[in-house]
Amino acid sequence: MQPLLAQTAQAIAASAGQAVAHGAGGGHGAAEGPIVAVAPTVEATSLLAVVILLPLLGAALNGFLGKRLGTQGVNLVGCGTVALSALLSWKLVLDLVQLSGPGHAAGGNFGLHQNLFPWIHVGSFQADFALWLDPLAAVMLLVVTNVGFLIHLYSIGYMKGDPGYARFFAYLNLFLFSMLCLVLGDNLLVLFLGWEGVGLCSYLLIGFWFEDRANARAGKKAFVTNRVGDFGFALGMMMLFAVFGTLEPQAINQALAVPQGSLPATVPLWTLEAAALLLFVGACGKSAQIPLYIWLPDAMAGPTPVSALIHAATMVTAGVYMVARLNGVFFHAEFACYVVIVVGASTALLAATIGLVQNDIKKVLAYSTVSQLGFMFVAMGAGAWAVGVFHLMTHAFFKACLFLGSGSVILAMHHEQDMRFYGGLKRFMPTTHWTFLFATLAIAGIFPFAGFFSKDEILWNAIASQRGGTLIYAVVLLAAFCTAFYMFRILWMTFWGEHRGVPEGHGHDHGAESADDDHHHHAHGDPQESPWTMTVPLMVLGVLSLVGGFLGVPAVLGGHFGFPNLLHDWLHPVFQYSTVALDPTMAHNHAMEYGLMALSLGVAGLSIFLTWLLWGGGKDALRDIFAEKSPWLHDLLWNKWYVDELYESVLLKPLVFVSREVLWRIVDEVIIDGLVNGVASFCKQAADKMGRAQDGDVGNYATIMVAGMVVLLLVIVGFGVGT
Amino acid sequence: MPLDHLLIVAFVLFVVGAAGVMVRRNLIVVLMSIELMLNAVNLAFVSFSRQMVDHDGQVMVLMIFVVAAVEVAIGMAILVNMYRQKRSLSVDVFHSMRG
Amino acid sequence: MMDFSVALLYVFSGMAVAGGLGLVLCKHPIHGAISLLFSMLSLAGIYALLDAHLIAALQVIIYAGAIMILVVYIIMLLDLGSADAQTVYRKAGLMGLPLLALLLLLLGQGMISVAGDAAAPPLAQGPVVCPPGVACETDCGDGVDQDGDNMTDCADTDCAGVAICFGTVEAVGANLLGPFVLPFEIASVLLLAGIVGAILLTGRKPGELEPSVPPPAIQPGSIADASGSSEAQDTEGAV
Repeated sequence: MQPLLAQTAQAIAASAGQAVAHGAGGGHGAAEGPIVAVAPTVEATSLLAVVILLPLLGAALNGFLGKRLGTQGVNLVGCGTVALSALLSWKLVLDLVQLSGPGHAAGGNFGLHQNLFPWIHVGSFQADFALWLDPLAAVMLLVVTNVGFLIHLYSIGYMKGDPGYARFFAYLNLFLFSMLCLVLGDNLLVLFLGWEGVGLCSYLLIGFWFEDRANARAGKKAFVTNRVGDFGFALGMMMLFAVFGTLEPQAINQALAVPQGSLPATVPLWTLEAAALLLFVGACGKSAQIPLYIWLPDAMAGPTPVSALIHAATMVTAGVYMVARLNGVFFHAEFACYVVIVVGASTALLAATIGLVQNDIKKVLAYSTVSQLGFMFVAMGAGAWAVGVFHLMTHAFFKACLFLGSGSVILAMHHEQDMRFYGGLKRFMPTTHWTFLFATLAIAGIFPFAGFFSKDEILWNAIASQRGGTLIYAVVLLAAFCTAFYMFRILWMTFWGEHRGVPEGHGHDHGAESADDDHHHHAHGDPQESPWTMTVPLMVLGVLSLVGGFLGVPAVLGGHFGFPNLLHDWLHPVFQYSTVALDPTMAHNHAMEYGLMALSLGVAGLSIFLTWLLWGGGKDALRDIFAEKSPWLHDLLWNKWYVDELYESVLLKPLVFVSREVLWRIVDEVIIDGLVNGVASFCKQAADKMGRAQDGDVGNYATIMVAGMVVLLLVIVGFGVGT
Repeated sequence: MPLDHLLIVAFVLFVVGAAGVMVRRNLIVVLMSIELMLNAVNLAFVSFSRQMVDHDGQVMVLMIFVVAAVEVAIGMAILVNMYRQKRSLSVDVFHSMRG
Repeated sequence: MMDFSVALLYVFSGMAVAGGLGLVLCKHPIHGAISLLFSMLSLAGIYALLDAHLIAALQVIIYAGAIMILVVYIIMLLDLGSADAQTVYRKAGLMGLPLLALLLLLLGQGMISVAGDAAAPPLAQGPVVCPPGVACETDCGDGVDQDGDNMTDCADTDCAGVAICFGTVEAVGANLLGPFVLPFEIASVLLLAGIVGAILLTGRKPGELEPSVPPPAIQPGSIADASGSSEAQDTEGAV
């Protein structure tokens, strides 16, 4: 008996192969000829379950016994389970590397598979609780477990003394469990379980300090906005099932491993387009893209490690990961990809412009995350899946580092988040400053930091891909300019220049985290560097921000020195049948590629120079000119393009009006209440009469039940129902 | 033995059990009659399992065993309590739950 | 041989039905319990003849051995019998008997026309024939795992239809712990709940005594009075 997955995949691949042969005969794709997709190599393992169950165990222990474990016990359980999980994930990825060796994977995808138990088997619907680790999942697995571990470690310092200490670690572990389900799920249903699980944990952690009404509201906003996306995701999933009869991404991709335009006859193109658009709605919700991005900035109400782990490094990239997972669908759905690239580019620019003027350090980073996710979707829309995943990885490094750095600053400034009261912190917190600087250089795209390689690949694909274009490139480049600007603005306002400090009598009502600062009774002296549990993760992530990019050196840079594009080669088996070709006029134009690289470096340099002029060069007056000369623009950005207000007046107000005036006054009070009261009085009278049948005699009840059976059987026999 | 004869045996057992529930006063006999009905269903399951050469029916019977065991354990516990209350186990005594 | 086992099936069937009738007709509960025990043992014989060996064994152990003994034990403990002897049957229930006859008729009419009157197919004797291109367990009695799926002989679902495997512990167990593992686990939780429930219902807290003055036994004659008063209360409550 072979594993179900392989059987399904083979069956679908066989039918797809026939369809392709048929299509070639009909005049489609004759030039490429039929591709016979190589079925994935599958090897069974029993460790994958351990990787996901360890954090769940941690969550259960901390959640149920947290109070008895004590701080040390909570630390040990919370971080220990995640550390073990991270070590195991390294072992599994090494196994996977073995599997990729010659003689094993005959050119097809390969992975480790574990079937935990049959989950839902109803008719033709088969969903096992199964896990699948292929090269794509491996990248995410390493990022999630390792960055997750660093952030757990950081939380020991950051959450010290919080009354909800054990609860915090329980939620964080539960989040990792859900995220690993999402990453490792072998079918979309397991993925969806993780998808909803991370949403739940996000809600719980945003509203972690729920005593403050604003935090609870932010959690609700995230939850409700995500619900819109999840609705689309669920519909897309059903659509895929209707077309393919399976929910396993492997089988779906295998069935779609044909050249564009030669789909099998059983798979109409419009269904793929519709499914891709619906799935992208889900991705928009989770990954904070226009129009559903509004929840992410508010999500900064949660503790800063949460912002780093969930709202920067892992959960918000789930949408990107899902698109990469279903690359076959998006490969064929060209129109949906245009939507993806346009939405991605617009989000990248819109969020970056809002980030220019915010004063709350976490708000800037939040808009930066939205913007960077837009970059990733540009890569996805351009069909450069590996590039998007590359940026996802480097972004996880440097954005986690930035958030943790900001957390370190926020802790040192006693939960003051307004950058106008910072300044000159370099002197007090050198480690935080240097790691923050590294991560900033990475996100700004300065050679040789991680972001340079990944962002440049995205820019290149935005213009060179068949699905890209000059306009998209220009928008993304402008977004990159803004990125460097707002990041260096943070550096100038926070770490460099003179220390301004919080003025006397200034209450702590700025930060959303004010509710918890009763237990941080530091003397209000000079800011101090954070403890080692916080600085070590910062240093590790800072180094990764520096060297992480060398995993994906583009051929145009590394090729001459024989330096391979490691990540690209590693992911090749996953994406080999679905990568969108570059525009033929661009594909080998190295001069153009070098030129664009120089251009983006120049733009970043110009941006940094501008920030020096405004904050470093003593030209403080220049700053006000912007606000004075074009107040409308400043107001527009300061008020975040009035999107919240727009939603308020277009969606919320009419909804509330209709709810109150029509639904409440008329439908509810007149129609429903009337019906309900009528039904109630009818029921009351009927019950008074029929209650006499309930004489409390068990034998009579049995007789009545037998009479019911007789009636049912009469229906079945007499009318032939069900025969 | 053909399938329909086995099924007729199962139906007869079921109906006899139902008759026990309907006509007897003693609650322990009522409970035993319910056991007889469960056994009739088991017989139908095993017959079909043999007819289709498929073990699923036998797994179902095992599940019914579990349910029957729990039912008797709880049912007997309730009966003992009821007897403590009223010193009788006649259905006529317990009809306070009337509408 | 074949005829003998078929004849035995009819004999066991008759005994099972007779036992069931005995349960309903015997006045004293203990006689009814013994009849039911008899019926269940007959059913175990039927199961064994239908090749459901595991079920037959469990029928004897669980039903006849455990459940019925518990019932008999409770009957003896409560010393029932004589009190209810004169009021064995409910008059109202007797009027439902025609309904039961109709039920039997409908069941026979409706379901047997679907099930058909074919005798059960004989179980396969020889080696398993694999579908083309798929490895499977060919020899089910040699202790060797032919298809390399870590399931040997009867534990492999490939062998389900073979005479030496059908209905055995290995074959049913492989099903139970394979596709039905989730119901299996839930059943174990149900058993646990049953244990806890039984203990809670019957156990008394330390120091709590049997009620020293039992409430007066209600004689059949006094039922009308008692029910009359409670009815009055109930109507008040409803309004």
